[in-house]
Amino acid sequence: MTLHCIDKPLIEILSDINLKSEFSIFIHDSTSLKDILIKSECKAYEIEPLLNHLLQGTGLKYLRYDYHLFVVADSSLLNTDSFTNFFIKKSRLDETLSSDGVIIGQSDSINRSGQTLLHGLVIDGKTDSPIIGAYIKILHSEQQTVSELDGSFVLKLPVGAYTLEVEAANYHSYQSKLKIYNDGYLMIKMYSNSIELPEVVIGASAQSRLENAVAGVAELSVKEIKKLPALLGENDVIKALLTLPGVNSTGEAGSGFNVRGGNIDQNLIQQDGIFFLNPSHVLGLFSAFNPEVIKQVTFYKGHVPAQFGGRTSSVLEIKLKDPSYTKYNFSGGIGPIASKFFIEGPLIQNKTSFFMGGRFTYSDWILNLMRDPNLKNSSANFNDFNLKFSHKLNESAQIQMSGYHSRDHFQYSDQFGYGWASNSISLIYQNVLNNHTILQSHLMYSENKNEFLDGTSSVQNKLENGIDYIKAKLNLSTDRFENQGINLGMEVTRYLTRPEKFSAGSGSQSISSSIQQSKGEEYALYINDEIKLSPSLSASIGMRQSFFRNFGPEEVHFYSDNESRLPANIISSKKYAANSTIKTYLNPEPRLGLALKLSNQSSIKWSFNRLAQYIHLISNTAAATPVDIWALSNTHIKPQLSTNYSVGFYQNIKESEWETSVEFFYRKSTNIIEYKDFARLLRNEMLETAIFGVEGKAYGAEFFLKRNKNNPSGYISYTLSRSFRKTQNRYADEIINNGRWYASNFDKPHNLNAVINFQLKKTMLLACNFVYNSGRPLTAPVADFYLGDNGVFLDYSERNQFRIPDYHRLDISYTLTRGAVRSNKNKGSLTFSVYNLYSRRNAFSVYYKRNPSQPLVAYKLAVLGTAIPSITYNFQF
Amino acid sequence: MKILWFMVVCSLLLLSNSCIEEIPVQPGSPVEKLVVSGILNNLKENQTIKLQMTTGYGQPPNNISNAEVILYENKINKYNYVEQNQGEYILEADKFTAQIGAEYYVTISLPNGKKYQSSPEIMLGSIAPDSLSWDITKKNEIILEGYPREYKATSVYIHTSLPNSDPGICLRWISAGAFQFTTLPECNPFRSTNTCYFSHELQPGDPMIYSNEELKQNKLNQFEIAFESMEPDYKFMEIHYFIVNQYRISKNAYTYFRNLKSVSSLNGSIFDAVPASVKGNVYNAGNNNEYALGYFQVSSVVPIRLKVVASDYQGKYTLLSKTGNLCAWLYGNSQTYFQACCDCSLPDPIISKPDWW
Repeated sequence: MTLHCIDKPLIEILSDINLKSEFSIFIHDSTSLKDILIKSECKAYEIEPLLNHLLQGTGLKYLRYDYHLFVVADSSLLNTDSFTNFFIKKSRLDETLSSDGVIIGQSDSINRSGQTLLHGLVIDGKTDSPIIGAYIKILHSEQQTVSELDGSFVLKLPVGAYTLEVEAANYHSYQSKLKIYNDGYLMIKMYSNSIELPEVVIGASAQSRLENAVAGVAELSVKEIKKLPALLGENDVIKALLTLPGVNSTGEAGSGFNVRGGNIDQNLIQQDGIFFLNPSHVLGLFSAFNPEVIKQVTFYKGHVPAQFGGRTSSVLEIKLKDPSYTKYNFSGGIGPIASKFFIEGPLIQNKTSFFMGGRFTYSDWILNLMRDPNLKNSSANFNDFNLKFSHKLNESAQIQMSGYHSRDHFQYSDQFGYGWASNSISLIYQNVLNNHTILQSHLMYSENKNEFLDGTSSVQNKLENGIDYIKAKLNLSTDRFENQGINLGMEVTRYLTRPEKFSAGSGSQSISSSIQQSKGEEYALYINDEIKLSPSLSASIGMRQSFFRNFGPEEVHFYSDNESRLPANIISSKKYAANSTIKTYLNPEPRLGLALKLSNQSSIKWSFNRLAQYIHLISNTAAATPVDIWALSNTHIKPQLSTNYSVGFYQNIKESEWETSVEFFYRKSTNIIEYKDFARLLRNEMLETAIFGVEGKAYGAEFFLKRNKNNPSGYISYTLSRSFRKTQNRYADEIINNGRWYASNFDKPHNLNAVINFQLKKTMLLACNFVYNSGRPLTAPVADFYLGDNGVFLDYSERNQFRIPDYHRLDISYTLTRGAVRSNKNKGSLTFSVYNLYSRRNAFSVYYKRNPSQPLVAYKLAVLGTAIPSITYNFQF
Repeated sequence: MKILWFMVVCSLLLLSNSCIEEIPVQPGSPVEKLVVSGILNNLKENQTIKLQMTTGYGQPPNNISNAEVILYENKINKYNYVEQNQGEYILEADKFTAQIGAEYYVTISLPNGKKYQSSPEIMLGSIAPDSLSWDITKKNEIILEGYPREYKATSVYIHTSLPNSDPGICLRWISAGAFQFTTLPECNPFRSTNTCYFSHELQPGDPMIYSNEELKQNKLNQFEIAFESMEPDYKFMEIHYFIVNQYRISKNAYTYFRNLKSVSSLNGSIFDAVPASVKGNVYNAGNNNEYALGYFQVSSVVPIRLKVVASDYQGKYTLLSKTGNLCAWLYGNSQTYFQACCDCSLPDPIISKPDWW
């Protein structure tokens, strides 16, 4: 601000300040100021020293009402009451002069404390669905906050006039003038800035990343996910997660994902409260989540708030869209292997709405192109379907019902095949009890079944298994107490495993059998408090008390203490009646997260939490398979427990244009499921004789650099980490590598991801994704020998002593859009993408063959050993 | 539109690539482990045990000479094996015959001072097979870069009735083939033809085992125990014998061979079990955690043979005619024609005519 003061009337100078600066100066009696001339130059550039300088010796004083409101009047008039009256009059005048902006409260009923509470709600202007994680700030002030899960926010503001700005990933930013006189309510509608695939938001905005007291929340700007070059055009939430630090997988055919060296079953993956046991389609090539129906994804990989539990590694929470109450929308996409659709709209205007979304494949034509006759005669397809109804019971209560169906089918020639099906339904009742408190009740049921067909012999054998569950949850969230956001509740889950049923085909020499697996109930009580201890220090303090009950009917075997747990060493057995308790476990799970804001651009966070898991994926193969068993904790299988520590430093640069972070983590686990050599897991009535518990540890550092704005944008993440296991067992068959620490199957020390997007024009986007990670551990041959038979046999090393070759891959995509402005009704985009551009044959596995007359040969199996181009068209109207 | 076509064509070309390739074997430190390979049966014949030391993969193992191998019967009677060839020790038939129901184990003292012994096993009563049968079947093998090739083979099936009373019967089969081949008369019109006898190994190389705990019914029907490729089919042009020994093995032996089989059949798929070193029943007497490779199998045995003559293939498979073309085909050029079909220089080991032929 440049001011020339010499020989200018005071009134003129103050008017200049009003015009040229962000400050507003109200003058009680301007006529009295006309005669006051300023004789010296204005040297101060800060507002208050400047005013002090100008008013010196004039008999006038100023009163600063808020950051940019000043009142100049005779010093005798500047007591509170007279000022208030003055302000009221002035405000009225302002209102008459300007209709711009939002006015909260009445100017003649100003809160006498001078402080107001602004309750707000940020929603999507098109769908009316709440926007979570929107960053709300008052320009030129310290006042800022982030919208909650239901889109709500609260700002404590002094009475006054402000400029309000709201930013949310993937939305046009919102800015408005705001005058607030008393407590009030404001609804902010934001409009998507996207015309491509439906948005999937992971994490939160750059600013909320600093504010949030929860460490280890993966953050990824919304646009990056949809821009990621996708395999065969299928945008994939899990593939997007794999670009984040600390997250990797066993390979292209590896189902699920591994977080900070954990097993895939240690991730709680839930969609509208329904947790997924198999988050993948087609042996892990695609995720089970349809991006068309997803509103938001939140990923907790370090600190897990107490309202989540049951897994020891991470939480992936997916929220489905809220269907529009006002208008119909239709979108979809057509790709080379799958198509998808989404339709939403009101059933009763502003009262009841629904959406349907589905995907279906027609991928067999690709297999028919293969030279391999077996693949040519194979088929692979999947479909999934989402349905959601939402009904407003009244102004404060609504009920939602969502359903999910998924089916997978894979048939390899006439040799083997598998099928996986999942059907789930959830009912959510939400009641806003008052301005501060929301009650949510969940009830959900899910059935998951699979089958494996073995047609390698002349007869068809079939193996079926699966698990069902029913879950109820009650959650109360309140911000009644100042600077606190409390979640408390309880949940109960009953697991009902399906009998593992083996059906021998007619003519088969195998025995048909059915194995009844155990049943269990998991209870949890929790409370979690997000507290703002000071402007710079906030905490997330939680406690979850979990309880597990394994109940009958079941026959439990007891083994000699002095001998290996083998069928031959059973000393007694006991049959438990239906519903009678067999075994219980009780585990306190404390959670603590602290965030210290060092400045507007940097913070440090610490996290500690303890997690318990009572349901375990039993899988002793290179990657999870569709026929893997889910087992419950029981007399012999103890709950998995993990204690997690992490500390991170977060720094935003150039007003959040750049985000950087480094996080260090350490995880200690007990009772991780490990497998005896050559464990027989399927059709095993005494599963405990094949498995045992080991301890584990994982540690590492995660580096993240992201450019939010400008061109090009993108991020680079690098993780340096290790993951180990150790046996501490007494029996020879439960000791691995002589009891030393050994690498877990998911130990990948180096993991680098780079995602770079070039916005060539407003309608043209070029995106690149590069991935590099260390090969996963491998048990490899160290010697060969003959036994007098025809074959040569291999002697293998200790467990996981070697590694498969490193993995790296480059994907690109080029997207052309139509209707790139918001006003266009019909929008579409055409995406050309190439997955694995330079055709790297990345190893999914390495195996060895030794024929008698030939040297040992190592083979590398690459699931996607070639570049895979695709064209996808997405539309929306 | 040109871009679209370009992408489609690229897709088709690239998708036709395969995904299995050979890679260099990771060099590892040479591992020296004792390998014990021996079967003690109840027949009055020489009993053999082989001792070798591994030298790392891809390297031939070293035979171990000058070891002391002692068989213990019911922990009382001792019988010393004698080294016949380097690393091969025998117990002569006229000095020892194993008894059904007796318990046996061996102790092995190596020249380096290390001592090993096998876990005691009882020789279980034998189970005789009812019969053998054969048929033409289709097989697949993986050739270059993972592509399967289909070919025809003669498969051998065993049929065995099992006693109802015993739910823990485990069997193992070791099979071999023998065939007759007569030289062509046109090789030398002044000399009579010569009939030679050959032995050959059957596929698969993996141990063939069975347990009635995992399979139903008390009769093994049409249980495939071996096969031999029909390419080339000269083995079947005259007389061919399938020779099968049916061993009654212990449950421990069954578990050992099952595990050995599982690590031999890995193919890198997601269904592969995690491989491991397979522990047999021979361990270091001073350190129970150090296992030798291999197994000392104590089992009764019943041999059985199946004779197949060329005419049996009529209607099932068309054998090549035994002409010069066959011989040329065997060796790939006419120069070797005379070697192959005139002097019995087939690639299989030649044997003297068996007594039972």
